[in-house]
Amino acid sequence: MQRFREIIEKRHDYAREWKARTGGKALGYFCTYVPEEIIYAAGVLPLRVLGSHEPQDVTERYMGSMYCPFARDVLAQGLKGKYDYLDGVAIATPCVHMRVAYSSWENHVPTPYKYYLNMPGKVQSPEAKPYLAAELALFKKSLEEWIGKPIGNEALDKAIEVYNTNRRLMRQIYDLRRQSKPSLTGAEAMEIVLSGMLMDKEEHNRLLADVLKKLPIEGTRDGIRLMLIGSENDDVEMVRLTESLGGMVVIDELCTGSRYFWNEVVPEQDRLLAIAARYIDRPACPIKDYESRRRWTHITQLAKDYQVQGVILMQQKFCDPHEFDIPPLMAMLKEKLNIPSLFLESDVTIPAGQFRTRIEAFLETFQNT
Amino acid sequence: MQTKYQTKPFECWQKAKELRLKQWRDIASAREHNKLLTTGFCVGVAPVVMGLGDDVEFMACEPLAASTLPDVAYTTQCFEAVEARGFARDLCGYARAYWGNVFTNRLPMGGEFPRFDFIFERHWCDTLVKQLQVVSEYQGVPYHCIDFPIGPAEGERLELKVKYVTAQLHRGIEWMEKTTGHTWDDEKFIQAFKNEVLSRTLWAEALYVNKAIPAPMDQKSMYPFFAITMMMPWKQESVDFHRALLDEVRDRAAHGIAAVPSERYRLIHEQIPPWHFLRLFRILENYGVVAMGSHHTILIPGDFRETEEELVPAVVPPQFNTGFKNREEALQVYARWYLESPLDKFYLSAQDRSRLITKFARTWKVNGVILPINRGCTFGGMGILETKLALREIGIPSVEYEANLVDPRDFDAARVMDIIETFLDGQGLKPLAE
Ligand code: SF4
Ligand code: SF4
Repeated sequence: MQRFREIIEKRHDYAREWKARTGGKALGYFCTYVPEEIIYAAGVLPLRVLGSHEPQDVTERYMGSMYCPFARDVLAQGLKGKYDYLDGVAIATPCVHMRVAYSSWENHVPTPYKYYLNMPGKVQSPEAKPYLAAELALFKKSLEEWIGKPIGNEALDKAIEVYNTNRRLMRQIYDLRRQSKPSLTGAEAMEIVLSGMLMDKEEHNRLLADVLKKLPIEGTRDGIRLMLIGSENDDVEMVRLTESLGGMVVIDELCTGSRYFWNEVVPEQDRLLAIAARYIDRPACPIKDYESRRRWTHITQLAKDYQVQGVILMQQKFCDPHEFDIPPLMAMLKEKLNIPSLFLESDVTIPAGQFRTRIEAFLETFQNT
Repeated sequence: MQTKYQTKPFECWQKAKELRLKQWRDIASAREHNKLLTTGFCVGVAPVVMGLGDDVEFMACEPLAASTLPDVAYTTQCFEAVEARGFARDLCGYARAYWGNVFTNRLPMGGEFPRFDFIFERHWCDTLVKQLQVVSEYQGVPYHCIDFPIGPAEGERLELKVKYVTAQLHRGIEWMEKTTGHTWDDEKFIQAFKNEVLSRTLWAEALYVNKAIPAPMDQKSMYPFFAITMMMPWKQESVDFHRALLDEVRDRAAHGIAAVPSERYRLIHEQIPPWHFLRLFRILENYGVVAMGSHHTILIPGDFRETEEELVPAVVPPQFNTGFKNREEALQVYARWYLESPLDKFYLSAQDRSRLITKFARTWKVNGVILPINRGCTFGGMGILETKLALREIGIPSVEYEANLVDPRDFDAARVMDIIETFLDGQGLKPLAE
């Protein structure tokens, strides 16, 4: 477990060392819809650009204050030179907040390679897969030009296998949390996912296999079984706080959590179509969840499988993708699943005192029932 | 006030008012007349729906919101109804105004909020599709959306998008036929598409004539006119109206009839206007300042194309004269028309917005730019602060203010005026009369 935390805390050192060790390039991605498999097949290290949770004042000239603190924090990291080792950055049509941050990054952070991938908005459209596959072909071509060599089928197959293995192992880790007494905490699980976004997946796979060997199926953890839902959230401290108050985060629906690894690439002859299908079919980000509410079905299933008693919805301030979904989602949880929920709004730094009181009060309601 | 130029009211103003009222009446009485009623984005959705026949009415989303906002008390009621349902106060203001009408079951011009038969939308801004998802669930009506992905659209990527959108349109048509029991008619679609493009290019032509000094139209006089381009561009009455308007703007330009008789300084007030504070334009006028429009009056209602230096009215597709071979071709031309529009680029990146804003400034020969950072629309704020740097490079001064242009509770008029007047003062402009 210690190693996962170390990677998160020393993410920049890790990437620099990886580059020195392998001689490869590193590419930062701004949204989890960027198809990492193709980047990995190019011998490039894909890693997610995250914020730092520290107050900053360097983005004011470029981004209005109505953009989400996470997107602003991400840009701030670039402006402050924290990602100066990156050889490239990529985005795959995320929300406008992240697009604004990316756009200013393009203007002011001298990362050599930049790529904007057109990711369909309506993932529920049958036309989305072939369209994305065609866009992926252009991305692949662009990467090939950048690295100066073709990306063959063998490399793609290997990358798909590495990523699928990672997803399988992550699902096994998450399965442990279905137990009535899980052997790992929600905070530990979040660290495991986050570290995977920041490191070479083969290496991550080895760590996962090792951890799985060591963790007993049934553990000793106890508490009110909670699901965490919401916008970008890499705030392990907040999960730790919740768990210190008697909650136990057993599952999440976050792009820094289960949404990131939930489904695999189903191999097929046309590799890019297979990869496209994986990203189209993954548990959707709220802005891509229309016309029907597939998120609701997925969340309902998770709640059942993980025997969820309560839900914490944590949303970045101004995150409109989630602001659109949260009221109907809370209503669905209450009316259809009879699951109470607590809504929290987060900023770059979380108001720990206020959160503590609200989480405590929320958890108390379970004791009374 | 000192005057340099002659002025007079627009003759088209009355006609615009009548058309607006008629359009609202057509929407409100659609059910009474056994017509189908639907809703969606104000640009490029209606023609597809009109393929279903003459007995269809379409309520464009944005004009509904814009009609709500000038009435502060009504807007506040709408927003409170939305907040009571748990939606955040910082969500898109247009979405909240629209929902407010739905939840309070009223229309700003009177009467109950109508129930739609179905909702047909195109994905452009993420907010719009989520907004109508909520409406479809609230009213329990079917919803279909065509995805126009926002992102680079050059060369091969444009071709991919055209193919993607066209394929979805075929499916969307099938969906509408199944949902309504109507047969979709190619000719009805083509006629509505032609009308919409004509209305939008005629509006662009009128704006292009507006380069004249003095400007025949200013921003505040544009709003009642371009409401037609936003509300009903696919209708023949709209084409006729825009032809008459273009003639009138040309005539005013030829005779030096000004919108602002004291014109001595031209500026762009970017974004939507502060709807609850339209008095702003009167105050500017008192400085001899003519507001020349914004992307909201230029690119949303107008079909332009870019040249190296400026924006010029788009030329209609050649098939409008030669005819379309078949449905596939008509849908492809339609998809390409909107995908090639600078409107999509404007919201794509800071770089695209900067390039387009500098072209606005050049085309309409402006002296300065006001850049409102609108808390009520994150989509429209793409790269706006970055445009300041681009304007500086071409020697055009600008000033920004942050406020909610939609929510009167989050708009400090005194503070905003203070910023603007300080800017004007820095430009050597004093009020012409108290
Ligand atoms: S929430 Fe959605 S848009 Fe934001 S990073 Fe996650 S997947 Fe991308
Ligand atoms: S937290 Fe919300 S607003 Fe911010 S980048 Fe993620 S999805 Fe967008």
